[in-house]
Amino acid sequence: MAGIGRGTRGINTKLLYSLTTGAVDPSTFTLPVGDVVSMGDLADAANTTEVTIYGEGYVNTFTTTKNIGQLDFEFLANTTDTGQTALELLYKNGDTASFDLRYSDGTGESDYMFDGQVSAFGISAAADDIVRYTVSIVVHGAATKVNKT
Amino acid sequence: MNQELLAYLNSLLGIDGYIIRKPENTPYPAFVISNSISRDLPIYANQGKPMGYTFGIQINLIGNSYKSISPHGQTIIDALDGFSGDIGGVTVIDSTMNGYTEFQNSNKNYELVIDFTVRSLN
Repeated sequence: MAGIGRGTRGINTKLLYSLTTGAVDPSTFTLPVGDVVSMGDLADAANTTEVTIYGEGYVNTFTTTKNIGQLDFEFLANTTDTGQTALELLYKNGDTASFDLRYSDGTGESDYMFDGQVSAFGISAAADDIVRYTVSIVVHGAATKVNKT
Repeated sequence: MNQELLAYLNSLLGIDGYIIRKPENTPYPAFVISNSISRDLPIYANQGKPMGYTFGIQINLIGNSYKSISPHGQTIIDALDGFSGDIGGVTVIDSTMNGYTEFQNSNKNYELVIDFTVRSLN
Protein backbone atom coordinates (compact mmCIF):
# COMPACT_ATOMS: atom_id res chain seq x y z
CA MET A 1 0.00 0.00 0.00
CA ALA A 2 1.00 3.53 -0.59
CA GLY A 3 -0.35 6.99 -1.01
CA ILE A 4 -3.08 7.76 -3.48
CA GLY A 5 -2.35 7.06 -7.10
CA ARG A 6 -3.59 7.90 -10.54
CA GLY A 7 -7.36 8.21 -10.91
CA THR A 8 -8.21 8.72 -7.25
CA ARG A 9 -11.85 9.74 -6.95
CA GLY A 10 -12.73 12.73 -4.78
CA ILE A 11 -15.99 11.15 -3.61
CA ASN A 12 -14.07 8.73 -1.37
CA THR A 13 -12.51 11.57 0.64
CA LYS A 14 -13.21 11.54 4.36
CA LEU A 15 -13.21 14.37 6.86
CA LEU A 16 -12.04 13.09 10.23
CA TYR A 17 -11.39 14.94 13.44
CA SER A 18 -9.66 14.45 16.76
CA LEU A 19 -10.31 16.54 19.83
CA THR A 20 -6.60 16.28 20.66
CA THR A 21 -4.57 19.01 19.01
CA GLY A 22 -1.32 18.36 17.24
CA ALA A 23 -2.33 14.92 15.98
CA VAL A 24 -0.18 13.97 12.98
CA ASP A 25 -0.60 10.18 12.99
CA PRO A 26 -3.40 8.99 10.69
CA SER A 27 -4.24 6.13 13.06
CA THR A 28 -5.31 8.64 15.72
CA PHE A 29 -8.11 9.89 13.49
CA THR A 30 -11.03 7.54 13.95
CA LEU A 31 -13.95 9.94 14.16
CA PRO A 32 -15.56 10.81 10.79
CA VAL A 33 -17.97 13.60 10.00
CA GLY A 34 -20.94 12.15 8.13
CA ASP A 35 -23.11 13.22 5.18
CA VAL A 36 -20.56 15.57 3.64
CA VAL A 37 -21.84 16.90 0.31
CA SER A 38 -19.31 19.61 -0.37
CA MET A 39 -15.67 19.63 0.60
CA GLY A 40 -13.45 22.69 0.36
CA ASP A 41 -10.07 22.71 -1.31
CA LEU A 42 -6.96 22.42 0.79
CA ALA A 43 -5.45 25.42 -0.96
CA ASP A 44 -1.94 25.91 0.37
CA ALA A 45 -0.60 29.08 -1.20
CA ALA A 46 2.34 31.34 -0.59
CA ASN A 47 2.33 35.11 -0.53
CA THR A 48 4.89 36.71 -2.76
CA THR A 49 7.04 39.76 -2.69
CA GLU A 50 8.65 41.56 -5.59
CA VAL A 51 12.22 42.69 -5.44
CA THR A 52 13.71 45.04 -7.95
CA ILE A 53 17.43 45.36 -8.26
CA TYR A 54 18.92 48.44 -9.79
CA GLY A 55 20.30 47.68 -13.20
CA GLU A 56 18.21 44.52 -13.75
CA GLY A 57 15.50 44.72 -16.37
CA TYR A 58 13.13 42.29 -14.66
CA VAL A 59 11.27 42.08 -11.35
CA ASN A 60 12.29 39.19 -9.05
CA THR A 61 9.30 37.56 -7.37
CA PHE A 62 9.94 35.53 -4.21
CA THR A 63 7.59 33.47 -2.09
CA THR A 64 7.18 34.54 1.52
CA THR A 65 4.71 33.25 4.10
CA LYS A 66 2.41 30.37 3.23
CA ASN A 67 -1.22 30.19 4.19
CA ILE A 68 -3.81 27.43 3.92
CA GLY A 69 -6.49 29.77 5.20
CA GLN A 70 -9.97 28.36 5.36
CA LEU A 71 -11.79 25.25 4.20
CA ASP A 72 -15.54 25.33 3.61
CA PHE A 73 -17.78 22.30 3.99
CA GLU A 74 -21.43 21.46 3.58
CA PHE A 75 -23.23 18.62 5.32
CA LEU A 76 -26.76 17.29 5.10
CA ALA A 77 -27.99 18.58 8.45
CA ASN A 78 -28.26 15.61 10.76
CA THR A 79 -28.42 16.14 14.51
CA THR A 80 -27.79 12.43 15.11
CA ASP A 81 -24.38 12.57 13.41
CA THR A 82 -21.71 12.64 16.11
CA GLY A 83 -19.16 14.38 13.88
CA GLN A 84 -21.47 17.22 12.90
CA THR A 85 -22.48 17.71 16.52
CA ALA A 86 -18.81 17.80 17.53
CA LEU A 87 -18.09 20.53 14.96
CA GLU A 88 -21.01 22.56 16.26
CA LEU A 89 -19.65 22.26 19.79
CA LEU A 90 -16.13 23.18 18.64
CA TYR A 91 -17.57 26.33 17.09
CA LYS A 92 -19.55 27.17 20.20
CA ASN A 93 -16.58 26.75 22.53
CA GLY A 94 -13.98 28.19 20.16
CA ASP A 95 -11.77 25.16 20.78
CA THR A 96 -8.92 24.03 18.57
CA ALA A 97 -8.99 20.47 17.25
CA SER A 98 -7.11 18.33 14.75
CA PHE A 99 -8.60 17.54 11.38
CA ASP A 100 -7.70 15.04 8.73
CA LEU A 101 -8.64 14.94 5.07
CA ARG A 102 -8.18 11.32 4.03
CA TYR A 103 -8.01 10.71 0.30
CA SER A 104 -8.21 7.08 -0.78
CA ASP A 105 -8.22 5.13 -4.02
CA GLY A 106 -9.04 1.65 -2.79
CA THR A 107 -5.72 0.46 -1.41
CA GLY A 108 -3.79 3.72 -1.42
CA GLU A 109 -4.39 6.36 1.18
CA SER A 110 -3.00 9.83 1.86
CA ASP A 111 -3.80 11.87 4.94
CA TYR A 112 -3.49 15.63 5.23
CA MET A 113 -3.68 16.59 8.89
CA PHE A 114 -3.84 20.03 10.45
CA ASP A 115 -4.96 21.87 13.53
CA GLY A 116 -7.78 24.32 13.16
CA GLN A 117 -10.85 25.98 14.56
CA VAL A 118 -14.42 26.00 13.34
CA SER A 119 -14.92 29.62 12.32
CA ALA A 120 -18.49 29.37 11.01
CA PHE A 121 -21.41 27.06 11.56
CA GLY A 122 -24.53 27.96 9.60
CA ILE A 123 -27.71 26.31 8.45
CA SER A 124 -29.26 26.80 5.03
CA ALA A 125 -32.72 25.82 3.90
CA ALA A 126 -33.43 26.63 0.26
CA ALA A 127 -37.03 25.87 -0.68
CA ASP A 128 -36.07 23.32 -3.32
CA ASP A 129 -33.12 21.77 -1.53
CA ILE A 130 -32.13 19.77 1.50
CA VAL A 131 -31.36 21.53 4.77
CA ARG A 132 -27.60 21.78 5.12
CA TYR A 133 -25.03 22.85 7.64
CA THR A 134 -22.36 25.12 6.21
CA VAL A 135 -19.14 24.94 8.16
CA SER A 136 -15.81 26.71 7.78
CA ILE A 137 -12.59 25.57 9.36
CA VAL A 138 -9.60 27.92 9.64
CA VAL A 139 -6.23 26.23 9.59
CA HIS A 140 -3.39 26.88 12.01
CA GLY A 141 -0.06 26.64 10.26
CA ALA A 142 0.87 23.89 7.86
CA ALA A 143 -0.75 20.57 7.02
CA THR A 144 1.14 17.34 7.59
CA LYS A 145 0.94 14.83 4.77
CA VAL A 146 1.34 11.12 5.43
CA ASN A 147 1.11 8.43 2.79
CA LYS A 148 0.01 4.99 3.91
CA THR A 149 2.82 2.51 4.10
CA MET B 1 -40.98 2.17 -6.22
CA ASN B 2 -43.31 1.07 -9.04
CA GLN B 3 -44.71 -1.92 -7.16
CA GLU B 4 -45.07 -0.01 -3.91
CA LEU B 5 -46.80 2.92 -5.61
CA LEU B 6 -49.07 0.57 -7.56
CA ALA B 7 -50.26 -1.07 -4.34
CA TYR B 8 -50.67 2.33 -2.69
CA LEU B 9 -52.76 3.78 -5.53
CA ASN B 10 -54.79 0.58 -5.90
CA SER B 11 -55.82 0.92 -2.31
CA LEU B 12 -56.34 4.68 -2.53
CA LEU B 13 -58.44 4.75 -5.71
CA GLY B 14 -60.03 1.30 -5.71
CA ILE B 15 -59.42 0.85 -9.44
CA ASP B 16 -57.00 -1.38 -11.38
CA GLY B 17 -53.51 -0.17 -12.07
CA TYR B 18 -50.64 -1.31 -14.22
CA ILE B 19 -46.97 -0.62 -14.70
CA ILE B 20 -45.68 0.86 -17.97
CA ARG B 21 -48.56 -0.47 -20.14
CA LYS B 22 -52.08 -1.69 -19.67
CA PRO B 23 -53.31 -4.95 -21.17
CA GLU B 24 -55.88 -5.02 -23.99
CA ASN B 25 -59.53 -4.83 -22.96
CA THR B 26 -58.75 -3.44 -19.53
CA PRO B 27 -61.89 -2.33 -17.72
CA TYR B 28 -61.97 1.45 -17.33
CA PRO B 29 -61.21 3.57 -15.42
CA ALA B 30 -57.68 2.36 -14.90
CA PHE B 31 -54.29 3.88 -14.26
CA VAL B 32 -50.80 3.20 -15.53
CA ILE B 33 -47.64 4.27 -13.76
CA SER B 34 -44.14 4.56 -15.14
CA ASN B 35 -41.05 6.14 -13.72
CA SER B 36 -37.49 7.12 -14.26
CA ILE B 37 -34.92 6.86 -11.51
CA SER B 38 -31.88 8.99 -10.92
CA ARG B 39 -29.39 9.27 -8.13
CA ASP B 40 -29.88 11.94 -5.54
CA LEU B 41 -27.06 13.97 -3.98
CA PRO B 42 -23.61 12.37 -3.97
CA ILE B 43 -22.23 11.98 -0.46
CA TYR B 44 -18.53 11.81 0.33
CA ALA B 45 -17.10 8.62 1.84
CA ASN B 46 -20.39 6.74 1.55
CA GLN B 47 -19.08 3.81 -0.49
CA GLY B 48 -20.16 5.59 -3.65
CA LYS B 49 -23.80 5.61 -2.64
CA PRO B 50 -25.93 8.76 -2.93
CA MET B 51 -28.26 10.09 -0.27
CA GLY B 52 -31.21 8.41 -1.98
CA TYR B 53 -32.99 8.40 -5.31
CA THR B 54 -35.10 10.80 -7.32
CA PHE B 55 -38.04 9.31 -9.16
CA GLY B 56 -39.79 11.00 -12.05
CA ILE B 57 -43.20 9.38 -11.82
CA GLN B 58 -45.90 9.57 -14.45
CA ILE B 59 -49.43 8.44 -13.67
CA ASN B 60 -51.85 8.05 -16.58
CA LEU B 61 -55.53 7.80 -15.75
CA ILE B 62 -57.65 6.40 -18.58
CA GLY B 63 -61.42 6.25 -18.73
CA ASN B 64 -64.50 6.25 -20.97
CA SER B 65 -65.68 9.55 -19.58
CA TYR B 66 -64.13 12.61 -18.08
CA LYS B 67 -66.22 12.23 -14.94
CA SER B 68 -64.93 8.71 -14.35
CA ILE B 69 -61.32 9.81 -14.05
CA SER B 70 -61.29 13.44 -12.96
CA PRO B 71 -62.10 12.73 -9.28
CA HIS B 72 -59.35 10.07 -9.23
CA GLY B 73 -56.90 12.65 -10.56
CA GLN B 74 -57.84 15.00 -7.75
CA THR B 75 -57.51 12.19 -5.19
CA ILE B 76 -53.99 11.40 -6.42
CA ILE B 77 -52.93 15.05 -6.26
CA ASP B 78 -54.42 15.49 -2.80
CA ALA B 79 -52.58 12.40 -1.58
CA LEU B 80 -49.21 12.70 -3.28
CA ASP B 81 -48.51 16.41 -3.77
CA GLY B 82 -46.50 17.42 -0.71
CA PHE B 83 -46.48 13.86 0.64
CA SER B 84 -43.69 12.66 2.85
CA GLY B 85 -43.68 9.38 4.69
CA ASP B 86 -43.74 5.68 3.94
CA ILE B 87 -45.06 4.04 0.77
CA GLY B 88 -44.77 0.28 1.11
CA GLY B 89 -41.37 0.46 2.81
CA VAL B 90 -39.95 3.24 0.64
CA THR B 91 -39.18 6.32 2.73
CA VAL B 92 -40.38 9.30 0.73
CA ILE B 93 -38.69 12.55 1.74
CA ASP B 94 -40.80 14.75 -0.45
CA SER B 95 -43.13 14.54 -3.38
CA THR B 96 -44.11 17.39 -5.65
CA MET B 97 -46.44 17.54 -8.64
CA ASN B 98 -44.77 18.98 -11.70
CA GLY B 99 -47.74 19.14 -14.02
CA TYR B 100 -51.07 17.82 -15.12
CA THR B 101 -52.33 17.25 -18.66
CA GLU B 102 -55.70 16.06 -19.93
CA PHE B 103 -56.43 14.97 -23.47
CA GLN B 104 -58.17 12.47 -25.74
CA ASN B 105 -55.90 9.57 -26.53
CA SER B 106 -55.59 7.73 -29.84
CA ASN B 107 -58.26 5.20 -28.81
CA LYS B 108 -60.78 8.01 -28.26
CA ASN B 109 -60.59 7.57 -24.50
CA TYR B 110 -60.18 10.28 -21.92
CA GLU B 111 -56.76 10.45 -20.36
CA LEU B 112 -55.18 12.44 -17.57
CA VAL B 113 -51.43 12.50 -17.10
CA ILE B 114 -49.94 13.64 -13.80
CA ASP B 115 -46.21 14.03 -13.29
CA PHE B 116 -44.52 13.93 -9.92
CA THR B 117 -40.98 14.20 -8.67
CA VAL B 118 -40.50 11.95 -5.66
CA ARG B 119 -37.34 11.80 -3.58
CA SER B 120 -36.69 8.78 -1.45
CA LEU B 121 -34.13 7.75 1.11
CA ASN B 122 -33.99 4.15 -0.12
